[in-house]
Amino acid sequence: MQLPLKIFLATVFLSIALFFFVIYDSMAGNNLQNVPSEAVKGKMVFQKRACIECHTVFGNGGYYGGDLTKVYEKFGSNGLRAYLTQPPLLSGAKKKRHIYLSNEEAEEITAYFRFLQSIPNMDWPPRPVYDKKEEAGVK
Amino acid sequence: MFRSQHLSYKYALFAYFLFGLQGLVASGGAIDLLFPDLGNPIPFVSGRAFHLNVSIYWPLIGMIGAMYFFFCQEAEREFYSLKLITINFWILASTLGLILGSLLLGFNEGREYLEAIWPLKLATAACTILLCFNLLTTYLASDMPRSRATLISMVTGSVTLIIFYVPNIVSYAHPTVDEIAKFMVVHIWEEMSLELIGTGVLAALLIQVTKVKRQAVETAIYLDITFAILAGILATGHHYYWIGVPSYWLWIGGTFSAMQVLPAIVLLYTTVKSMTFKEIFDLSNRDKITLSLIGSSMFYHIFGAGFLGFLMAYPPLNRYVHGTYITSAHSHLALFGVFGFLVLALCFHILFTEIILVKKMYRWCWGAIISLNAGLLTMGIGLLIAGGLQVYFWRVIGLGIGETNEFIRPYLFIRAFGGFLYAIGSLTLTFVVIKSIWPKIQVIFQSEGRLSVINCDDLHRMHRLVGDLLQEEKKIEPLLKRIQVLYQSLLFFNKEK
Ligand code: HEM
Ligand code: HEM
Ligand SMILES: [Fe+2]
Repeated sequence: MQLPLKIFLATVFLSIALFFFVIYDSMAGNNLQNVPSEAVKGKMVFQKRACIECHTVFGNGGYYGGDLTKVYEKFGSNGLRAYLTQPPLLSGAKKKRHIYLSNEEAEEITAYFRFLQSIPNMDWPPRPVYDKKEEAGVK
Repeated sequence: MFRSQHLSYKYALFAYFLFGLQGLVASGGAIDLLFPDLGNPIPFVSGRAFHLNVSIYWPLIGMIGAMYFFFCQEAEREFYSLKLITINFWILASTLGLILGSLLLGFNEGREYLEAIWPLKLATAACTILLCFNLLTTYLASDMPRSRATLISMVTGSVTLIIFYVPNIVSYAHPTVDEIAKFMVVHIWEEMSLELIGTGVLAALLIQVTKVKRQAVETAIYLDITFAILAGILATGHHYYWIGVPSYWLWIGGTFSAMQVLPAIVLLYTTVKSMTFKEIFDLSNRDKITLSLIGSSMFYHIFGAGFLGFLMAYPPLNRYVHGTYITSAHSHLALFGVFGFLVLALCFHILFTEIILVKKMYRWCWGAIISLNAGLLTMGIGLLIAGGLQVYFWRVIGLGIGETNEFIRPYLFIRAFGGFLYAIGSLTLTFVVIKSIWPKIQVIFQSEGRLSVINCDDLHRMHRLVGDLLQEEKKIEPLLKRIQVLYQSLLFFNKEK
């Protein structure tokens, strides 16, 4: 076997092995919390209703509706339920409303958002630069 | 010409069809985003899901077709199983048909890019396995040197398709694991597997079209694919920064992403070096179109994928630009810019092997290429500005979603206009291809048993081989063997006629 081929194959095996090892390490131990069953149901609602087409979670998804990773912090349980069961008009629209969820679905999805909120993701999305400055100024 | 090559036509045709369809549906989605009250027949949600899934599948289908076409040329023998080429096509086509159909009807699985119920995912995995089986058996049976770089890169690329798809067949309760698995396809397939396959196929095509010497590119291909593997796999980290994994991913992703520009540079250097201007003028019309599509792909490989990707992958910057239309600009410039154009080039070359590109259509092709490039650049610029504003409004001054949406509307309008130009280009090119192919449509879908087309290519190759034979006495034996194989296939075709 020629040298370039040997180097190439070695790179293939090492990179794949290293990649899966690091992934294993990221998921092992207590790195990932258990998902509460209510949150799992909420995740299914989120998927079936295709929320990801307009919203991002962890910044991945559609850019129309903004990020939902920390939305629980912003609205709280009651706020979320109200928003989802009595949907307002979409931004820029005169007739089209936000998707409507039943009470039960709203409960489940709120549990999912509560769980998302608790995932340590290096505090992404970052808080607006100005907010931070103001806070520092107040102190 | 091998019969395997003939069987790959349908892949190329289907890729063109999907490409045209995608332009149409995407424009609908872009308009719905601007005017939500219009009552679009394809709502944004279904349209976007359709769009993302087809953006994974059509470059894949085109690449698989290109491999069936170029692999046997490089291995200088027929595929191990011709029947499997056809079977593989129909499984792939019907799987995709079911996925897209159910998405348009509003059945979502809710996982971006990978919307399919598990039986359809199994079918997709089965397709990649069939492909690898055929490639490996053919590779092992080939008389060519084992280390031939084009063969190695296509085989390795295809095997990695399986490895990184499998984790996605099952679903996960934890959203972090979901993301980890998703990017094994969205990132590794696109930025590594297709990169390997594309390099192999492109080299095969250039060796054929520009008559560059194989030895001259062999080392460069190895350099390219080694870099692509080394950087590509661990650079997946740039999608893992904020999904809830340990912080060492910032280092892994940042470091390896920085190396991702290397393969693009090697590829560009080799391609440019392998051509001279005089040669370009002597090319046939078909090859001129093919090469200008390849040229477009190279351009976006450097700027849209390499340069823009490089900037975005730097973690402190990514923290702010992530989750905005800047990502979308990069997706379009990189995914369509690099692999879209490459697949269009390859499929164009493949489809016009036996069918002649008439002069009138040739002019339309140029129009389409210009319109595609203009559309893509306009779209990219509109999205970059819209994304930049999102960064400013959301991450700097902390404005709400609704207000931000109002401010970025004009730029999304520019994007939609770019999409319109793009769609004109894509429909024109698809029209040229389908119109030229139409009279021969039955031949394209002919099954392997009934092929009886002798192609002049074979006679030309025979002629070349005899020429080589007269010059190189030392290597006479392997050459004789190859001539024997070719004669057999020619005789075989004649019998069937
Ligand atoms: C040829 C190749 C490439 C293709 C087809 C490609 C494709 C894509 C796609 C489709 C996405 C969007 C994923 C999503 O929706 O979340 C993406 C994101 C990204 N790509 Fe690439 N890419 C390529 C090359 C590169 C290179 C060379 C780099 C770095 C040097 C890079 C860095 C990134 C980064 C950092 C993101 C994430 C952006 C974010 O924060 O959301 N890409 N790429
Ligand atoms: C007529 C041309 C096109 C138009 C108008 C268009 C429009 C769009 C729209 C509206 C989105 C959704 C963005 C959002 O979430 O707000 C999108 C996403 C996407 N498109 Fe296209 N597209 C076009 C062509 C293509 C092509 C040819 C490809 C690839 C082969 C492609 C790949 C993608 C990808 C990977 C995404 C998801 C990544 C993201 O959201 O950033 N698009 N496109
Ligand atoms: Fe990536």
